[in-house]
Amino acid sequence: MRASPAASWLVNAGAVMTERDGAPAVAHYGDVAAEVRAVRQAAGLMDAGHVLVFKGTVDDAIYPLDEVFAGNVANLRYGRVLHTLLADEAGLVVADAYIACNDDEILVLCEACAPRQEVARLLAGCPVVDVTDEVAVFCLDGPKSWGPLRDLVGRDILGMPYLSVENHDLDGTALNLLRAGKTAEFGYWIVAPAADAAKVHGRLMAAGAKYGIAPYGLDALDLLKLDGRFFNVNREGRVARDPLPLGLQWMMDFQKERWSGRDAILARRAAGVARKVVGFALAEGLQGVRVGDVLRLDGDPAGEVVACGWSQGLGRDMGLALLDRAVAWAGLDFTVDSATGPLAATSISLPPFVPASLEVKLDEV
Amino acid sequence: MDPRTTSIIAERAGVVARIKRNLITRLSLPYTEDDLHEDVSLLGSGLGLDSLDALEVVLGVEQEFGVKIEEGNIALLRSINTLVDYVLEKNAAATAAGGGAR
Repeated sequence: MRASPAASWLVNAGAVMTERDGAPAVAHYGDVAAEVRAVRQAAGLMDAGHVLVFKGTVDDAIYPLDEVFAGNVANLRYGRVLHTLLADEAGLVVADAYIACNDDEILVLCEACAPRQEVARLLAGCPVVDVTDEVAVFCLDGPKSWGPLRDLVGRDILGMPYLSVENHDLDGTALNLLRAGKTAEFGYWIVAPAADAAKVHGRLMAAGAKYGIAPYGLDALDLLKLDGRFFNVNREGRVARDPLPLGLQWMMDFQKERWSGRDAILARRAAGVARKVVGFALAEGLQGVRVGDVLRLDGDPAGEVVACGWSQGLGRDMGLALLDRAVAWAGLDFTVDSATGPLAATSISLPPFVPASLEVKLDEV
Repeated sequence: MDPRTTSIIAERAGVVARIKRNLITRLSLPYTEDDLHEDVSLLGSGLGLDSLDALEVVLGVEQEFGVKIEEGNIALLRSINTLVDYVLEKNAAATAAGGGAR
């Protein structure tokens, strides 16, 4: 297992560690609900030690990367970030990726549901270097996440459009700052040298104190992605690897002639998608759903659960189910065959709440 | 399938198809209707519409369904499904009030 540059420091700060694909990552800090609440209402900071990071030059790497990733990397403009996916030859999801075009440098940040070696194998033809062990990645999310960053690196960050990247300096530490995130709130991904990980984390936490910042871990992130309707490569992605039923068409450019998994995905697309992922919520007060539980509609099996958890926005348990296409619609009443007996559930529209960040106008703060 | 379930699906599917066609035509999206998942985010991650695109979507829905969307109500644009919910609610309210839904 590789070492996270921030791991020992975070354990001292109360982090309970877990492992994700061979990488140490913070599971939680003791109160997952409080961590989710901090991100939904104020700000949260996560050490994303599980994220794989590759670097190359734009001149050398942009076209080779375009032939591997599903999105249109070749059209990526300077200062912008592409949110796309990496599939294997069978057209199954391997990683959810941000690709940032940062002046003459290109950054690839992958959350993978496959071992690091598999991502490296798929990128073998690209002139990029795996710098995962040389950097720390932090995710700063929440309706007030702009606050500590503005105070530390300046007001310019307020003007960053969604999916953009800039270089900043924090007391001599060079940062790659991405305006991005997967919680449905404002978000920034911060890439710093591994040697300065504890310093950057400490400075952000100190600056964020007046905004109500809290550290958070992967358990909270999984819940934030679930009710924020952000694809979670480590939950539903691991269960249903085909990007089409998962609704990830927006991450792919079907006009491109070459990318890993293209032929397999296009063949399945032409044949028609037989199942789709749909959100569902349990009736109030009910709980006990697990991944793999069967959903029934009017008594007949309709699909199964691929992700589930507590939604603070809804105030009840919810999940994602892979359903037969004919019944993959919001507004239907299902029963879930759970270990504790049948549970009433309704398919719902996602995201099922209005994120607080939608009400924030950064040009007015 | 229960007739009530069939009816709910038919009503929703009709609105979804009209909104998807509207999005694809008005915004020249390089996708088919099948490519657009109903929960895909319209703003930010997902289709990544900008403010002009969002205005175009609002105008399209207002014209297609004869409903009014309040200025600044960008929360409705969280996904295709949240737009569909709004149209279905407005149609139900119009029907209850004795008016016809388009």
